[in-house]
Amino acid sequence: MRKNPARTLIGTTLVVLTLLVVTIAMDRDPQLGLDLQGGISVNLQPVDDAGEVTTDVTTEQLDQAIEIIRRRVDAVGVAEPEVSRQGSTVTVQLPGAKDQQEVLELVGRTAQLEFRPVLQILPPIITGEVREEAEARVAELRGELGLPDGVTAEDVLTEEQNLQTEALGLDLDGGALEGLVPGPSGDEAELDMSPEGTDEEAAGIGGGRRSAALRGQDASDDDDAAQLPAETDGAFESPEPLNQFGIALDDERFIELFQLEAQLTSELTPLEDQTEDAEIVVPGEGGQVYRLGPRALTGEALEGATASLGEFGQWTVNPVFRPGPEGIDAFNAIAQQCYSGAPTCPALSDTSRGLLGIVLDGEVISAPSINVDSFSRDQIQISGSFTREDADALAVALRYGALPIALEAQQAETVSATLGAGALRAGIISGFIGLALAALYLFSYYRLLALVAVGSLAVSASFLWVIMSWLGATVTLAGVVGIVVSVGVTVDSAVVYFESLKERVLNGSSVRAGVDRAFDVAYATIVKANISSLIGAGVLYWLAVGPVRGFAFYLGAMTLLNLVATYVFVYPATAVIGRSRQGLHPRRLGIPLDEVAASPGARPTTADMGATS
Amino acid sequence: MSRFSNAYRNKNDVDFPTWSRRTLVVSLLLVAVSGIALVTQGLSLSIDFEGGSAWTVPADGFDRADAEAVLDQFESAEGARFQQATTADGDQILRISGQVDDIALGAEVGEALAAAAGLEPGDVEVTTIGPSWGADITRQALQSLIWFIVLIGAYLAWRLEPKMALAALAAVVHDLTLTVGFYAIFQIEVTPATVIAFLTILGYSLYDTVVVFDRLRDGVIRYGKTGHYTYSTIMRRTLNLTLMRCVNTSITTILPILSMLVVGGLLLDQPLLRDFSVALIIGLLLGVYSSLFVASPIVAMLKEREPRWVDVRDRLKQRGNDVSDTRWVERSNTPVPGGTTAAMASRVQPTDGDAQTVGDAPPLSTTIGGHPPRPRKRRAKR
Repeated sequence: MRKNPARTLIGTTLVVLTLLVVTIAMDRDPQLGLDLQGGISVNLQPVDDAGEVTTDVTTEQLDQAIEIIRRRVDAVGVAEPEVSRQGSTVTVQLPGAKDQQEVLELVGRTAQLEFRPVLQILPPIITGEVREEAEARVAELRGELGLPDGVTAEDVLTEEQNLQTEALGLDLDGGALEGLVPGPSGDEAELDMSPEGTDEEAAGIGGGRRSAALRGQDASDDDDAAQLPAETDGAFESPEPLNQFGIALDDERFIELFQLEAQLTSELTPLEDQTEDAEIVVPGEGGQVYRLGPRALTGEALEGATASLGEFGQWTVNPVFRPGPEGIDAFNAIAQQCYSGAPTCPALSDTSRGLLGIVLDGEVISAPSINVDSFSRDQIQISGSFTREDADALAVALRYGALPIALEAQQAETVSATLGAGALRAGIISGFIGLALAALYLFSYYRLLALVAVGSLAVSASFLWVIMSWLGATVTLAGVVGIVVSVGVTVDSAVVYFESLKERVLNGSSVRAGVDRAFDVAYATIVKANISSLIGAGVLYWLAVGPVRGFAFYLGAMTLLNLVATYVFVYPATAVIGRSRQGLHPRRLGIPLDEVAASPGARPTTADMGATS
Repeated sequence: MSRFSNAYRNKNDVDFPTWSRRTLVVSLLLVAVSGIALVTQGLSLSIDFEGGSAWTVPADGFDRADAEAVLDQFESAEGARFQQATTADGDQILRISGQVDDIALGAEVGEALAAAAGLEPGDVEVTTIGPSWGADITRQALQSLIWFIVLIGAYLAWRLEPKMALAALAAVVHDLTLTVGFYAIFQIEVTPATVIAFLTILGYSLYDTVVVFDRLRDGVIRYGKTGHYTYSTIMRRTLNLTLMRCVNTSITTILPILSMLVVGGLLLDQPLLRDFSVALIIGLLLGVYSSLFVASPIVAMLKEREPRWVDVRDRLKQRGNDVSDTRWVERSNTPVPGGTTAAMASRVQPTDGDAQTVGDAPPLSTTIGGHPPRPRKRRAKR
């Protein structure tokens, strides 16, 4: 670098230009913060039962709460929502959101963990183009089958079942229903007892059944319809259709119609309607939809949960219930029903065991089949095709459910898009005017060298733009201010260097020799001063929330970039100028040294050696 | 030659030690006044610290009476403040702040205001701060401050020296007290943006002090060993050499901020920009001032008491020199004739005669005493 500053300078310029071009060509740019593009931001903090703000919560609980809020927000479909945590404060930022009341309702509700028996597993709800296609197909099938408007496939099924029962005394109910709805594909998990001392046995059972459950899952993932005729063949020995439309229940078209109609008509229960006694329809993992019975118990029946590695290398989750009627007894009551496949918790698969849905914030996170009729409170294991992450996530959710934290909005803010845009424009306009003024001053004082200072600003700013673009960092108004403020710091590095150079030249050194020496001294100072700034920015970033953080981030980033830019740009650029013919005219560098300019030859470069050695 | 052109030629010789004796007194007075104002008047804190609501309604013809009617519906008109403003586009804006610190109620009022003004709910800006949130912000700010002082103090004590760290922090506290005092005296509202600015002031003030002190330390290393100069003399010399750097840096830093205040804050009516820039400008000016006139004299005071510098003074006195004359005189080879009675006369700016002496002084970079310049690695001698 020292020997060939020109090369460094060209290198730096090329790197900066390349990065800029690539960034722009790939159409990346920094995101605008909420205050600039409009939207709603809410800061929430955990509160205790009395409604007082508390810090007595674990990181895990908070992270789980954030996860839940994120899911809710995603479900509403806000573009690029941001949910973050700092300390025990949760910040939710919803760009473009307008209705503050709605948002407060959305994020402020305490999520609850419930256990509800699974009544039915419905096919995934379809939307958009697929839905339109499905609707078209339904119309087509209805035409082919000659079904009049207002009569659904389910009506036909019911009629046929009733008539068949009457005529033949056959009980088709269970079989037909089971055949027509897809298998319990959500049945990834099962609930076993792991009695002390007989771990091996319990694990063995779990392992064996798991493979059965896995088969079910594989088969029903994509093409439910294709699988169904084969499954249903056994259920109907092709009895003559008795219904008024003459439709055979094993008609492939009818099965498809039934499937599609079920898919099109199933509707999720809104969260506010998910009351204790209601039957609810909620989504689960993998897109399935579950119809669930009334709440059997809440997460408060739980004491805790852990994930552990079973004997055969499969991950299991071990929930522990509280003792007493509110805890394990309540759980066993519902477990008994599911084990025996009672109507309140019907058997849905060939195992003839009912499933117990674990519902967190209106979403089924697991629905294990109950394989034991009575559990002791700390000897329960949920096994299934869990990866370690799955098991951990489930255990965390159960632990959270045991002690859900209530988050209460402490600060809420709506920024209108138009006002935000005005703020951004004001920041940018005033920033550029200020920059122009500062540049003007620099030119009047340092002449040619001002080019270096302004260039260094451009280099820092370009780096910052590139980094922000790739990090997807958000620019807030406070951030814009931070950038404008850091202009001073950036220019200062150059000024410290120029002054050091000037002093040397005024004291008899040549510009040529001075550029190197001055840089060594100046850079040591610049590093010290910038590190103090960085410490300040770091403290702010670490401790503060909201706009202060954005400000600290940009101040810190600019300070750091300034250190780099000074090294790879300011020095080489000054050296190139200093060693060129311009270096023989210190006046052009803002150094009022008349005699050198008058007689360039009077100061041979060897004089440096005399001055410095 | 004018002062500026003297300074441009590095021939300025401000008598810092004499000046700082006065400025220290002034500073102490101002700190006391600020402290008293802070205690008696307190700060005018925005809703962000005390809890409350603010609504911004961008609608022509929607005025105070309309807004009050809406607030009355929610029984929250008490203590509300109204401010009518016009944006750069000529749009009317009504800013309302009230004491509603219930988040849900704040949102409700916002919607009612939007309805009353014939706007969509999202067009009215609503900010509501719960009562405990403000306490939190305050606690965070104080926490940041303490950490800042501890970390920076440790860093400076390590990189410079403990006494300099102490003086630098004293200057920081000075700047902060005066800025906060300014806000207390004039009862300017303190917003979170102001707090950011206060914290930035700490950074600036320190940055400046570090640059000055680094130079001072350099000077002491180079000239201290000669035994010809008192600490104050070296300080005066180095401060003069960094003076133009301080001035230039301050000007280039203040210009963008000034533009932010005038263009962004006043012409384009952005309260955040205005809040920021006012505090920053005050802080910046204070920062430069305190590096030169608060931090440096404190260091000088502390250092002059060290046995080493007491010795130097005693020896110079024995040789018949006037140690209170801090002008820079080349003393490396021959003892300077003592009894410069004009010491106190050169308080302000040097005459041309003075300038000559100063101009002839060797650069700090060349070696005078037995202390060679630090060897540079990888430095190719050409």
